[in-house]
Formats: sequence, C-alpha cells, structure tokens
Amino acid sequence: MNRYDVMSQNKVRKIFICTLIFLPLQYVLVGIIGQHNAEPWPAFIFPGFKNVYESERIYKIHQTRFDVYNSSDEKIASLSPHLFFTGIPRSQIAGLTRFFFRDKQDIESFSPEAKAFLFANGKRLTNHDVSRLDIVYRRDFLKSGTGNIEIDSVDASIVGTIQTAN
Amino acid sequence: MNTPKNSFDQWIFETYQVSNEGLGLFRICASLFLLFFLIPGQGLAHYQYLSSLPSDFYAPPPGPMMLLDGFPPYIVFQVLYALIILFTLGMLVGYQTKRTSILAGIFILLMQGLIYSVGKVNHEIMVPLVPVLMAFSNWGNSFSIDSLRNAGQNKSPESWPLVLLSLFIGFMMFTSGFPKILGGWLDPSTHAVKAHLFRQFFAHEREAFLAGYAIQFQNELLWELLDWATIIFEIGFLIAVRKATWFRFFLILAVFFHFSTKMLLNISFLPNFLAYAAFLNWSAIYQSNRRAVQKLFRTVREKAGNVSVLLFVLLTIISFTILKWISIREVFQIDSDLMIHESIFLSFAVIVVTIASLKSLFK
Repeated sequence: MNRYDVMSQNKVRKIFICTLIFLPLQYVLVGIIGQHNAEPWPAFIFPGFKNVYESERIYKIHQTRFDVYNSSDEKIASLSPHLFFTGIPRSQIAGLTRFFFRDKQDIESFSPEAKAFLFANGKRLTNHDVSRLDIVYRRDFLKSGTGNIEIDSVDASIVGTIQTAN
Repeated sequence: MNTPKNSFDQWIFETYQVSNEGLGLFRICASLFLLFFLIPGQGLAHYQYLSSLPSDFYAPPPGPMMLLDGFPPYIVFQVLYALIILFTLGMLVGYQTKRTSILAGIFILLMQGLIYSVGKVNHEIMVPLVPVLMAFSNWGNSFSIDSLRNAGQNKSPESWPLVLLSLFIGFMMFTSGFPKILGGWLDPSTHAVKAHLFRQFFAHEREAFLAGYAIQFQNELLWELLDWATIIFEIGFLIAVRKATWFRFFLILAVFFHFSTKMLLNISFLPNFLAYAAFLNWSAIYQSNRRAVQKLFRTVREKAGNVSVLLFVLLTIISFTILKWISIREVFQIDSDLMIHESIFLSFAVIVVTIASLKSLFK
C-alpha cells in the first residue's frame, strides 16, 4: 500500500463523515428557510407532497384562473395561467402561480412592463384588446366516496385585479 | 488498498465492486443520456423565453441566484448551454475526464438555478450530482482519450462514489417520506395519493395513461395501502443504503414506484434514473456484450471488448436520436405535459428490472 492510498482513504472517510453531518443539517436549514421564505436552492431534497387535500372524502382542487375582460369591461374568457406563460414548463406553472399571483398587493404592483406582457398574452389568446385581468383563486370541493365524482361546492374569490394604466 | 478494519470502512470501500470497463461504459451511457435528454430546460427557445421575461417574474429561490436582479441576457444562456455540451462531450470521450465531469456538473447546476428562478424549484439535483460524484470513481480509465494518453498509469477504479451517491439518494428519499408523515398521510381516514391524483388530473390536466380510470376507482383499502406503501418505501430507502443488495432491491421498487406514478399522476422523475443507472452491474453488461461480439464476429477477446463498446455507443445514439425525434415531433399524442421519451424510458426501465429480477431469482 503506498502513501497515496492511505491519504486517499483518510480523505474519503472525512468526505463521508462531513456528508453524514451536512445532509441532515441542510435539511433542517431548508425547513427553517422554507417556513419563512421559499424553498432554498441548491438543496439535497426531493419533493415532499406533504399536504393531504382531502377531508371526509371531500377532495380539494386548488386552481388559479385569469379572467380576461375586453375594452368594454365584459368578461371574455377564464384562462389557465399556463397559457400566459407558454415558455415555462407545466411542472413549474403551479409554483409560479402560487408565488406571483396569491397576494393582492403583489398583483396590483406589477410594473408596466409586466402588465403589458400579461395583456399582450391575453390579447393573443382571445383576439381582443384586454383592459382588465382578474386573478381568481378557485377551490373546487369534489365528493368521491361511494359512487361517481360530484362537485360538492366551489369557492372562488378574486385575489387581485390588473388594470391598464389609463 | 489496505484491508478495511471496521464496518464503516467496509461500507465505504467494499459495498460495491467496480471495474474500469464497467465504469467506462456507464460514463458513456450517462454522457449520452445527459446530452440527449437531461440538459436543463427545454432547449434554446426556453432560454430565449426566460431572458425576455419582465424582471417582475424573476423570483430566485433563496440561495446564490439572488445575486442577480433579473434573468440574464440570452447570450448568457447560450454560453452556459455551450459549456454544458462541451464538458459533457469531454466526459463522453473521456478527455480530462475528472475535470470535464465536475465542470459539466457545475454548469448544469448553474443552468438549473436560472431555470428555477420563476418561483418554482424542480428537484433535479441528481443530474449535476452524478457526474460530479462519479468523477472521483476514475470512470475515465477505460474507453477514453485519457486511457490512450496515460496508458498503464491509470489510478485504480474507486467504488466509494457509488456509496456516497446511494447515501444522497437514500437521504433525499427520506426527505420525501418524512413530510408525508407530518402531513397526515398515515391517517386511515384520508387518502392522500387519491387526493394528489385528483389535483394532478383536474387542476394540472394530467389525464394520460391510467389517470382517467384511477379517479373512478373506489377501493378504500387500496388507496390507503398506497399511502402507507409510499411512506414505507421512501423512508426505507435510507436504511437500505447500508447494503448493496438492500439498496438494489429498493432501486427496483423505485423503478416500479416511478412507473406507477407516471401511470397515475403523469409525473416521471426521469433525472433520478441517471442516478439509479449507476447501480446497474455495468461490468457484467460489458462482459456480456463482449462475449456476444466475440461469438458473433469470431474475434479475439481484446478486440471484441472495444468493438462491443463501439456497437453499444452506436446503438445508444441511434435509439436516443429516434426517441428524441419522436418526442420533439410529438408523434404520439398524450393527454399530459409528459414527454413521450420519459414514458418510453420508464417502461424500458420496468422491463430491465423485471428481467434482471427474474434472472437473479432463478439463478
């Protein structure tokens, strides 16, 4: 056995010991930061899918919709956010929507550039000039226990409104 | 190397047996898999889109990406993309393999960071982690430019990076299972898997494969069993790290787990398969390919080895090209955002592990 091998083995042991300490520590840190902010990156974790969206066989489906209004202030469409962000993979859309479109203040303080981006996409999708976008947070409660799936109730509320400057 | 003295040393240095040829073959396969399917994002159009987004939509996760104020110009994405391809190609041909593998991993990580700065992190860190860890296995010792340049001076192949990789996989699986316990998945009065199926189906329009049938399925016991089985599987992974046979058994379960997740929820977790593939017996695959070539072309053993690798590379490139073409062209339409190559890979993985399991059962 040469000197290289001995040093190498010691280094490898140290790498393992550091990793065994580091992995749980970073997990705790991810938990703490995630509580107050968003999930940090990079981190050595897989998705938890922690929540159980069910209670007494009523299944909760959360959705955000963009209600589009034309220049006469008539609602012309209710669209899924992924249609507005065509370049973003669908796997990121729910997270993106949660991040940008769940807080009234955030929504209403979008820059003119961001508003123009959303309105341009609204026009592309509806072929109408868009004067207003309502961000609607919708919860469908589905009943599924004994037979077919039925809608138990729907709870929808406008989180915020994006309007043109004029 | 000296004889390990304690169980910790045995775990690190003796859990897996590797050979230069096996590692070399895996390096080639992993590099091609990366080049064809796992470079972060969905190509140049995706990068161009991100660079054109208003800075309001730049929301980096807590971490190094917060140093930026907005998405960088398109040219930055292009340079990163070129560097990823360059270093992965270096890894493929085995040119300065350790360096190129580590650099490929670092640039993949950076690209992922930019892509995840839209308010949502995807959990694909296995993609950069595999080349970085495997760089230390000396996987460039065979079938590489390095092996031609350093003939006879190669370092011995190392198996400890595989153990370290297994530790990362085991721990990360644990981080998936533990929150589920806290979230109430084990409560017999709720069905978490079914609830997630409903969410994916109705909110995310993931309606392909068995999803449509599964939402109608009413067996309460089975849904509850799925909740429990998921947690037992994810938590158990960490314990399985201790022994190669246990870990490989959990990897087989993982393949079936991801396959069923694909069939029900239309989620594939394809990046994980890069890491899982590291634990295939690549030495045995190499030997079996070599023997087949030797028999087929009646050639000498040494030559047969190189020819078998060349054929392996050619066949892999041809099949990956076809798969990529099918996927991009959307030759088969599915009611989901899942790419067709992801579905085919998962089905292929199920066939591979089923055959391997049956073979070992009847041995």
